Amino acid sequence: MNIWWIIALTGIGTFLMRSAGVWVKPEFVQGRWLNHLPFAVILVIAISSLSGFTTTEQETIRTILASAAVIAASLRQLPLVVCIAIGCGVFGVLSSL
Amino acid sequence: MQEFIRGCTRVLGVVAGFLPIAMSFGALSVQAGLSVAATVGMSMGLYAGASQFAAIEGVRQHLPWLSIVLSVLIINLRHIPMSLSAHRIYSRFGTVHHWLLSHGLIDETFALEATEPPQSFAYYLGMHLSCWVVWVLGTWLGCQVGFQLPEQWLQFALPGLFLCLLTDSLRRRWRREMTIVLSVGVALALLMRSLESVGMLLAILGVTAVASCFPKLDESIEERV
Repeated sequence: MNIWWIIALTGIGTFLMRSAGVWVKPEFVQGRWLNHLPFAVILVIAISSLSGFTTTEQETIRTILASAAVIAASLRQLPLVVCIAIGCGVFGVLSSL
Repeated sequence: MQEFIRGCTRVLGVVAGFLPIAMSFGALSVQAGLSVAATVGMSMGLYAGASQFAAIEGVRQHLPWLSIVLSVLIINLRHIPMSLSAHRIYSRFGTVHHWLLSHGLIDETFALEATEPPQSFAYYLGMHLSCWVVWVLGTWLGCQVGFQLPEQWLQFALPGLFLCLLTDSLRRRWRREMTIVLSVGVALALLMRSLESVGMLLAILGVTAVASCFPKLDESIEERV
């Protein structure tokens, strides 16, 4: 099958999932569980993405230190972009050593 | 216009993290035999990182089209609960605007929107459009320059974003019960990792179910609102 058909089908399918909030019955959207969904998404993606950096011991140490830097910056309530830049800086410097 | 620009600047950290990933996708896709037009078309229409990588891997291995399409859709299943939750934010904009914002509903924009008070349509449009444009441009750039990426310095941008949002979220809604939810979440995320995107979806639903068992956590959300 043509690659364009694959792109079209996956694109439409994904868009329908992303727009579920528009076409799913409103009663279903009222559930209490949805209150906790944003936190669950953030937690699971944060852990998954961090665990992707733990293949070697050195990488694990880099990840722990960069994470600590981001957490410290976030607790000091620095702007989001600054927190990310600090994390990237620590990770980048440690990677280049 | 000011709101639109404010939305664009809000996602600066996200787009910095996007660029090397989008470029990697562009480079890999061309290497797998896809044309530049199809590669960029996929980024424009599908706009979902992990599933795009899965799709080009399927193409490279000459898998049947149905298998590729189903793999992509399974990977993207988590967008359904995310969209249901985002409906609470978007519903006040009207259906057309809601449909428009839906295409830009990705993990990063959802996480940002869910952790801040409701904003204007222009603000959300700025966020979504910036991310989408950078993803598409990054893909095109990757097709042109291949693997010469500044990856090392930007590798931590997206994990950093989610970690920052997680810290902020925990700080604002901390209750003793959160330790249980947090522990279960970490365990589920690590245990389900081998199942990749399906595992991620199951872990998200698991954490949601556990958090729903604690009515006190609802109170902390209400206080925040």
